[in-house]
Amino acid sequence: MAITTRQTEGFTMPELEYLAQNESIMIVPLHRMERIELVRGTVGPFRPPQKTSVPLWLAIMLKRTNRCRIVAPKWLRYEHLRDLNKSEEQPDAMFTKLPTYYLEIAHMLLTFAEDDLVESQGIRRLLQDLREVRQSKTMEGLRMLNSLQLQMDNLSMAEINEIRPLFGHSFDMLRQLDGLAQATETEQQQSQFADQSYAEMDDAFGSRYVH
Amino acid sequence: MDTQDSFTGALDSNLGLYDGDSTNLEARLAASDSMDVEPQTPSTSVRIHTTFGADEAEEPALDQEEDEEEDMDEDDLSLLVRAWVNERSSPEILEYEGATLENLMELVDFQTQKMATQQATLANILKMDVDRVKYLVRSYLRTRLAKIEEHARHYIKDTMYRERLSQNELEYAKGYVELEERHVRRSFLDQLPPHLRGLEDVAAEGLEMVSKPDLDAAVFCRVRTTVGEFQFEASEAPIVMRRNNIFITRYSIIRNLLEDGKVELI
Repeated sequence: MAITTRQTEGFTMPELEYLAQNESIMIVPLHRMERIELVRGTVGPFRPPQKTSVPLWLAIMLKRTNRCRIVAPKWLRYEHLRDLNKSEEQPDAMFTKLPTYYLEIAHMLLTFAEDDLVESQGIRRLLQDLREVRQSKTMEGLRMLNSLQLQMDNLSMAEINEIRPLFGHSFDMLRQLDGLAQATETEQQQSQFADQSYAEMDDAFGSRYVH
Repeated sequence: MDTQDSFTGALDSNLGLYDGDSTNLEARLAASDSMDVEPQTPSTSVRIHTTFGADEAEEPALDQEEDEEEDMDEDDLSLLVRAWVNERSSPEILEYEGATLENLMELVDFQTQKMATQQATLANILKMDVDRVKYLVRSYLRTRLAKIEEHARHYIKDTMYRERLSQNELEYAKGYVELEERHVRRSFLDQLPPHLRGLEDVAAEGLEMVSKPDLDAAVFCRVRTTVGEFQFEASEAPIVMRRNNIFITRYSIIRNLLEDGKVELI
């Protein structure tokens, strides 16, 4: 097998983290370093205490060797998450806007750079709440699924990956049922048409006998 | 039975052949795994892309206003990431990203050579960077192999699909079909009456023996450039597709938009 069965059903957690690590993030370097030419482009130069933007994988790598401090992105700050939670809980609210990889990034930052986040425990709790509200909303969305399309803006990659098997299979099932329904409908129409023409013929014959 | 063994055995050796000899990409991946490469003068043909992010931008890209139009001049890595995600999510095999892979492998070779001359910290960073690219290339190729195995017979018969495969992939697909055919013939097909031995028969009502990808399968897609009003089905009212909208829909409906790069699968 070239890939595992799990991988045919979507992405694995490490794969999602891989994708998330390509996103850029601000760091404050703790050591001087010259520019680095990476495959995707140049990062640096690193001049403490000037902030600079690097891919997340590099930020984590530097953080683990104590070479930088990670600047928490705006959306991962306590106050911002609290506001998000509020608007997310509004009745009939759409999904609030969050980065595509917010869960993965938050998870990695909470694991490797907890000391760079203010009120990390509170952030953890708010993220958990946010996730639960969004999950129940997604499940509500399943009700609206049809065999043509359903719009689900602002869902993150991890959330889509989570619902992919359920929504994908339900969608395919609805599609098959629709196909069947259409087939039966045309069949019924045809047989109705046949019945009708027999009835007309009977009428015609009947009337001839009457007169 | 031993026919089963010989089938899997032969399949393994076929896979081996693919991994080793015929894919120079895989061979190059393996070669560049060793870090003791002779330092060479950097070739000027290698493109190093523009700065990753502005040095003193107040907020990182994560916070950037998402409505800003997609940068059309994407770097090769981002291109391959997108191709990989698309490939993983689409029911049919997509166009082979040959040029992108070539460019990336050139960069990987170049970076690997550079590593040897750097001090440990920097070399580690470069190695991590290169390893991440190699991981992506491998996973992309393997995803395609898995999809080729799924509908190998159809892909080599259909001109459009044949053109989407790389030379190596086409050889692999042919080898796979041949092996499979030999296996089923030996294990039972040769014992059946001659008129039941076909492998590509077409019954009435379009029932075919050769499996095809289900183009109506459900996919999740995100709009990359605003499309405007789009008709999902002739009988339905059009829906406005704006950048960053996400839809679950049938693959066949957005197939052309995907080819034009207007949507991406997720």
